[in-house]
Amino acid sequence: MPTDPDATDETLMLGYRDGDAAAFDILYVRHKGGVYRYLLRQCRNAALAEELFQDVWMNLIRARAGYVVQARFSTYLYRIAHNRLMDHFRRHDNHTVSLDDESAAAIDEPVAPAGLQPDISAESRAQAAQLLTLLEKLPDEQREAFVLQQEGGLSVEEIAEATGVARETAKSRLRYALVKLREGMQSWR
Amino acid sequence: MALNPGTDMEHDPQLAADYRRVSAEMPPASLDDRLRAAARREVGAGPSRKRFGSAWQMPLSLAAVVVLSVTMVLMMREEGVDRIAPDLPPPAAEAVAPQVAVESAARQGRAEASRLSPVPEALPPAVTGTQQADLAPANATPPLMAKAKSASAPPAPAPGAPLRDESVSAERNVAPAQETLRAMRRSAPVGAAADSAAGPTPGGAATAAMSAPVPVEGRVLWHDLVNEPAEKWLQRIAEWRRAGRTADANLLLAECRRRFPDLPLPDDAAVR
Repeated sequence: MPTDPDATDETLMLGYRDGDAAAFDILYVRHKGGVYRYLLRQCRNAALAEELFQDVWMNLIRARAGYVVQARFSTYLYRIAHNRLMDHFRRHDNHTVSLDDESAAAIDEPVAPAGLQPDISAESRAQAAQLLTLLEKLPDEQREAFVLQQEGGLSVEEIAEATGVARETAKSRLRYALVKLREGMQSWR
Repeated sequence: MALNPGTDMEHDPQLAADYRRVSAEMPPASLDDRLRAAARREVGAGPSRKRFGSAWQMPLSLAAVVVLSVTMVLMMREEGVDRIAPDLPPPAAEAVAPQVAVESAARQGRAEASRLSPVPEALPPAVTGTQQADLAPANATPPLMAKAKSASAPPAPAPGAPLRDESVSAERNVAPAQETLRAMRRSAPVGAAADSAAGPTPGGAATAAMSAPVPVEGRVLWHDLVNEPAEKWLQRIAEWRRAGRTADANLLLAECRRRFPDLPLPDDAAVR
């Protein structure tokens, strides 16, 4: 029976668990961009983000046999991504990356993606670059909360679950992030 | 600080729209291909060695089943007769029992001899006879087999083959029992030798009966004559023929011939 492209993420993951490789393809197309950008925003290095991205999906593939629906698939997927990211930071001891560090040279400069949306004006590009710069300057936890909300569509509760913190903590992080971003973008509005 | 329209403490639609407009980075296509291939490999659906193996899985399984089945059938054919034999009375042992033991039993009288008989009373003679025919060794004595199968007197004995008709008659009587035994064989295959011994032709059955061992029942017929002279045997044979017990008389005659090979037989003792 062909895989239903409109099926929910959870149904698709269950289908993949039961051997439906096409279900994985649909899931991958749905979430590859969000997961990649989440990792890219957090590690700020495209090459490293690709490596982590591959690990996240491979972990998902390996864990497919034991998959059960306990939460939204997005929460499950971003928890894998968060854990992989934390593991990387622990190993390399560079959890807190400052733009003043020596390693800052290796960090990709946040630039608005050119060419993807040709109709974006120069002003919009500048606005995008400003938003990304503001995002870079956020503390990791606050940035993570914002990106999880935007890329994964996670609620406060789901952000808390994905990052392993209490709901109030996640809520606080998200609020601080929004306040700082709004303040930074005030001049563009 | 003023919030954008529709903004609450955890949501800002304006910021979200701005972010969506600039957030379009995607992983390289090479990663896409690699991960999809890995996902297919994991479930065995990808073009990998695993898939090649799974393509051969069914034929290999079928071949293994066929080889195992043939091996089991051959083994059961070799062991089939030995498996069934312990469930039956040991006819061969009875047939080769020392003559001394038979005579000793005869001396103890009919009742004692009957008690010594290992043939179960509840078993129909036809079934017993057929089973014995199926499992008979080639050197067994033929006439007593017929006694076990039939008490009816067959007409027109053929010269030179005195007991063949008796055996054929007995084979007719035991046909249902043979069917039962064939059904048993179908459910639990036994040796080819046993199958051929229970062949469908009357001649084949008669041959099986001729090669059957001496049934225990037959010994009861003459247990009181074992120490008697030949005249007593002939007298008994003649009595039974007059009484219409042709089958018993034939059995007794065969035993008499075996015991007294040089004895000339009177007309009333001849096989009918």
